[in-house]
Amino acid sequence: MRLVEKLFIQGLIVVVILIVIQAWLSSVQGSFMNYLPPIGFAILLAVTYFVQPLIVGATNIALINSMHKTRGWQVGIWLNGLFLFLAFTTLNLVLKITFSLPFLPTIAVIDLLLSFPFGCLARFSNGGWTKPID
Amino acid sequence: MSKLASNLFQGLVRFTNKSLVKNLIVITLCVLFFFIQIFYPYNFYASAHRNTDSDFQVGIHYVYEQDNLSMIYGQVTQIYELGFKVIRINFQCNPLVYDDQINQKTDMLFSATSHYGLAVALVIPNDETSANVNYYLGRWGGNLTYVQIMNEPETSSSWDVGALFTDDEIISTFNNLYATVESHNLNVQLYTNFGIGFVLRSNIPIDLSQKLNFVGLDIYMNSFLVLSPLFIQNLQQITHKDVVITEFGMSTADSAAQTNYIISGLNLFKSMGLKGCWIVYWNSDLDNYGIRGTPTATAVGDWIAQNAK
Repeated sequence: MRLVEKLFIQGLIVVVILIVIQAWLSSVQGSFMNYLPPIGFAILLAVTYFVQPLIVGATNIALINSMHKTRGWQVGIWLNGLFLFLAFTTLNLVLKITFSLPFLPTIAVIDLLLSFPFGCLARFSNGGWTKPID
Repeated sequence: MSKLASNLFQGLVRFTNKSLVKNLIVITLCVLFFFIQIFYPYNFYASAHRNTDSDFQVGIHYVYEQDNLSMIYGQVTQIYELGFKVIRINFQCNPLVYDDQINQKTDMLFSATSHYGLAVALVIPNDETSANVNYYLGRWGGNLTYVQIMNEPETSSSWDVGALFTDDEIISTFNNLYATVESHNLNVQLYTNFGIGFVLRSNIPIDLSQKLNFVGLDIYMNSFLVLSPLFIQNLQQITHKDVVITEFGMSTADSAAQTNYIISGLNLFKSMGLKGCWIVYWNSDLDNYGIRGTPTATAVGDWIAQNAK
């Protein structure tokens, strides 16, 4: 695969994961809030800012290692995931505020169209080592 | 030249590929994204006048019980002439003495609001009894346009200062007051207002809003004005109801600061496409919220003339 294709696939996978989690969280936000308040709210925060970045960060470094034949990581998995999550939500917020767009389907489609630049960002935000690290 | 650029680019890639540098870049960008998410909504709405043709209702809370009976009609006239469309009032009555002074004041207030066609929003406090509410609504309910059931329930005290209402207390009190109001079959819109603290107890607005026509949000202090677009959108998202700013004001003797704060807020809320904003207060003996007789009142009147239909 060419580098451009790798970056596009990496961006596409990360963006799809972020869209799915975002859509799921939006749909179950009320249920979380109403589950044994305030425990549900704490769980919602934990899922949003801890579990979600872990999933995204782990996926990103796994993609980098498998597509670029590297090992390990330069940036911690949670921090890397948080960075991609914040980049994604910041873009969505700007689109939502500036153009009054709904997340589904409009902003989600725009996110998918931006898979390649997002792949570049994801690749830039972490990396592995080309030699054994131990 | 192209070789120099290529060398520079490759050097930059090698430099940023170092783990420490990459971590620093990622952390810096995280902080940047965080600040964009905090400040962008306010800056966007505050810098551009959007929804110029939308209806926007400016109201004011009139503490008429602090004025003499003879003043009330004239004060309502002044409020009307400044362009306010809604007067928000406290729950004031004496069910035991029909012609009590406070009942006469309430009669006078509704006489004036009916004459000028002003909408009236009644605030039913959290600790009000059903008997009193029944008396009030039976006597003056036909003059009301909005009824507020409870006031910032998520932050209110139950039995002592600092003892917050439990969720059960809030919901059962709300249901009692709601049933009392509904039994009068009034042609009114019901709402409950929330403070910024609703984000920590979001289940409260989610639960209560199911029986309400809209929800209110109270904004005080510049910091929360800046953050208000985020709070407003969150409240809309979780309740699926329109949000009206039901309390908005600043307690200060500095009239210029008060004017600047209120006009900034009015511009922001109208720009966001909200239905309205109700200012606190017209008069207030106990603090500096009142705008009566200050340059702020004139500035708000001018703003209404130019911006609110």
